[in-house]
Amino acid sequence: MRARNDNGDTVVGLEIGTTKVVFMVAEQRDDADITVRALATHPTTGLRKGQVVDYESARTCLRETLHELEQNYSIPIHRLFLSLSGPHIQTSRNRGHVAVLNDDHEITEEEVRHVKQVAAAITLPEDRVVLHTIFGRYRIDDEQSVLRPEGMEGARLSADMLAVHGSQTHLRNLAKLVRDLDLECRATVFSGYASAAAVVRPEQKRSGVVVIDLGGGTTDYIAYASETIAAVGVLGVGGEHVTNDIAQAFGLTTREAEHIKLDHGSAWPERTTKAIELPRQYNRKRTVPLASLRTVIHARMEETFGLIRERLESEGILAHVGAGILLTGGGALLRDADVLAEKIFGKPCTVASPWRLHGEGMADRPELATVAGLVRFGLRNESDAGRRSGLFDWLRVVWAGDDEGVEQDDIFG
Amino acid sequence: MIFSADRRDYARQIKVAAIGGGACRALDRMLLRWPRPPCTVAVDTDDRSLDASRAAAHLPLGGRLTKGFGSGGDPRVGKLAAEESVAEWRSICADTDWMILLAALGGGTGTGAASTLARVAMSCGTRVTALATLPFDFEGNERMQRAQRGVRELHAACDAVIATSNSGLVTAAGVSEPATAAFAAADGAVGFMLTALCRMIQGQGLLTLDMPSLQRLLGGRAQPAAFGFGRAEGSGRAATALADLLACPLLADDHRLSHANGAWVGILAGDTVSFLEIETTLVELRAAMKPEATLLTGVYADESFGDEFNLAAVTTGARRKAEEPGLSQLDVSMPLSSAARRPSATEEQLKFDPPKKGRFNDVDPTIVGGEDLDIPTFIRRKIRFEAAR
Ligand SMILES: Nc1nc2c(ncn2[C@@H]2O[C@H](COP(=O)(O)OP(=O)(O)OP(=O)(O)O)[C@@H](O)[C@H]2O)c(=O)[nH]1
Ligand SMILES: Nc1ncnc2c1ncn2[C@@H]1O[C@H](COP(=O)(O)OP(=O)(O)OP(=O)(O)O)[C@@H](O)[C@H]1O
Ligand SMILES: [Mg+2]
Ligand SMILES: [Mg+2]
Repeated sequence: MRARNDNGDTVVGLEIGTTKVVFMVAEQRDDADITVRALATHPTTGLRKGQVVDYESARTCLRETLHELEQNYSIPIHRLFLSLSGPHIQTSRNRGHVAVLNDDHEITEEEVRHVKQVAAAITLPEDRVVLHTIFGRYRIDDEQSVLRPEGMEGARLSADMLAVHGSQTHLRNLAKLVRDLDLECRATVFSGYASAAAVVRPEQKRSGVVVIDLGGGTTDYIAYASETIAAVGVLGVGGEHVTNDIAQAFGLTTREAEHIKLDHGSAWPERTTKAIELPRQYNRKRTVPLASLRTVIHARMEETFGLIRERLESEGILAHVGAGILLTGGGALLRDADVLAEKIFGKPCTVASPWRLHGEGMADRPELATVAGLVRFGLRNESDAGRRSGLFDWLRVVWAGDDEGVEQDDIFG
Repeated sequence: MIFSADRRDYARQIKVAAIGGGACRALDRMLLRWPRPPCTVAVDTDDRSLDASRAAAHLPLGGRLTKGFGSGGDPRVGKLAAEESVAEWRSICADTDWMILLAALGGGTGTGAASTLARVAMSCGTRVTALATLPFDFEGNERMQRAQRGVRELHAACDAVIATSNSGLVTAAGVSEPATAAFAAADGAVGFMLTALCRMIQGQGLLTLDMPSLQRLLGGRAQPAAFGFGRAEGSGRAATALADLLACPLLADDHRLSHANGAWVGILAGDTVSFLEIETTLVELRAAMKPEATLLTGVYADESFGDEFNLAAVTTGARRKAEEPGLSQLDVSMPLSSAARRPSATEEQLKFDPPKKGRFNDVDPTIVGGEDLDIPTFIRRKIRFEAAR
């Protein structure tokens, strides 16, 4: 075994998803691209909708995945970046103001730092933990809206802040799982945010884009508009709901339903008289009409996209996403998911996989978006880790724009 | 440097909104005897009623439509007025975890506006429980029918509805004359229920109640929940109060404690209440109920109750079956839900037995806009297709 590698040039990401647990070890290449050194993944047990429901079985599952990783990658790992999701994730907005009292009313870094502090000072109920405080645009004298106010003049500076927060209980349980593996969690990142970091390109971000991570138990979304993060959210619905709908519709087991979803599923309804044959049961022949299967899947997917559209529309965001919709996560592999999304959002829509990620079998793997985003985030942050050591309270990452954090642009390389 | 922040008041997670004249009056009577109330809002089409209200916030509904003169007893006007004021209402709902709507059904404003306001609140991510009263018997058939339609609409629009009748309240309280005393008695009972629930949820008691548990108890029921109470003081007060509760005329048929599928029972007593009294009451309560029924309990002790031992109960019947008309089938004009969610007229109805949630049967439900998304979409939208063979 080689010595412990602690100089920060490799990082580990861990997604404890509803359907799969995945560890990724990656390192930075010279050209800002990322090379995957090792990957280990296992079907998850003990989680529903992104939340731990059976601690023991979740722990066993993680342990096994870690063993598998250690077989492919001989360097022991100590620290990792963890993603999390679930319907408990919520957001709150706040606006802070400061008066610019310099003689010439020039806004300096000092005012910007201060207004961020003020905007970030929100009081949440005790059981909520802030994951990210995201700063958007600034306003000068309640009129002009700017991205970088430094050097401009005004009497009053305001900052808009979006806080992403989650339930302390759920966070604690995830953190404990990681501690039980004798690993240190460097930071916890909302999985939709991590996925976006892996799949969005800078030009898409500038034109405005919505990233939808279709997972097993949750669907995360994040919208970039006017060069800031305009909305973040989670729906407690995912691929497992599609599977469950199929099982309920045709009287199948979950496993049978999952199989026919993967082999014959499509989000687009189709008129056809074809039928799918299932393995015989009690010597009885069983078939499912293909048109029915598509109808059932279409209903669920249309509803899911429709709910996200409603939320984005109600906040007036959809008009500002020029680059359209990116679908990622394992659920994006469902045939014609992009065609349906295009119809519902009325925007161009593509299936997106992690970008600038190298290594065997890393192409076209939308289900790896979250973990790839985690290592991307980790590499950006660990490279100047010394400065911040100790600041990474595992619960709280001040992600973007904070004086100690990274500017949003940084995570898109 | 001087700075300030527009902070939201996260401490106020519960709001009580009274909709319509009767509800606003009832809320006022409650506020007289409620030391630390949650944030209250008076909502009406009638300016006179708002001007008189003691609530912390006032929301006039449909100013352009009604000019502040009321709805004229027409629920359609009440509903249109609510739709006109959706934006203001939405800002009231922002950051509210639990909205309790109080509506005295039978008139135009409370009856027409409540379900619309409930739906908007739900769309803001707020849990919504409605506490509704039905008119006195003497008010006549027409009002009663209007009120019953109102209850059904509310039931489709809220997370949970607790409904009771003014006549029943008066009988249970044992006062009926004069008329003002009857109203006061009815309001007293509703107020007692409301304060009991709020105190337990706000965590002011010895044994409190969390919102998810209450939600699980009340949500997804085929019928609105009912409430009842029992009171006593002096020696043997715990046993007397329990007997009083078990016989409470407000809890009839399926809602009797002995028949209910679930109940929340709060004990509100003076600070001399003993552990033994609490324990015996809860053990006997449990014994009085069906073994498979859910029982949630809360205890609140405060010197203001003196020597009293009060029991407040909310009881629920069977769970809602999938084939019952959901929100989408009722005649409600609501611009909020997308057309996609409404089944088209040509799609036939399928019959299904239990709510088929399959592998999601035993996890926290995903409720969005009042719908349980764990139930397959095709069932909720009643989509027809050819079955497996
Ligand atoms: N508990 C209680 N119920 C009341 C009181 N006043 C009226 N009600 C009941 O409330 C019902 C509806 O009356 P209101 O609330 O005055 O009507 P509204 O909702 O304001 O509607 P409009 O006045 O028609 O716009 C009546 O049928 C009564 O049963 C009261 O003080 N207490
Ligand atoms: N080819 C495919 N067609 C349809 N669905 C697919 C396909 N491949 C994977 N899926 C679905 O994608 C889902 C898993 O996605 P993913 O791996 O992103 O989830 P996860 O990260 O484990 O879950 P979550 O993020 O919700 O906690 C499963 O429901 C699976 O059925
Ligand atoms: Mg995922
Ligand atoms: Mg009135």
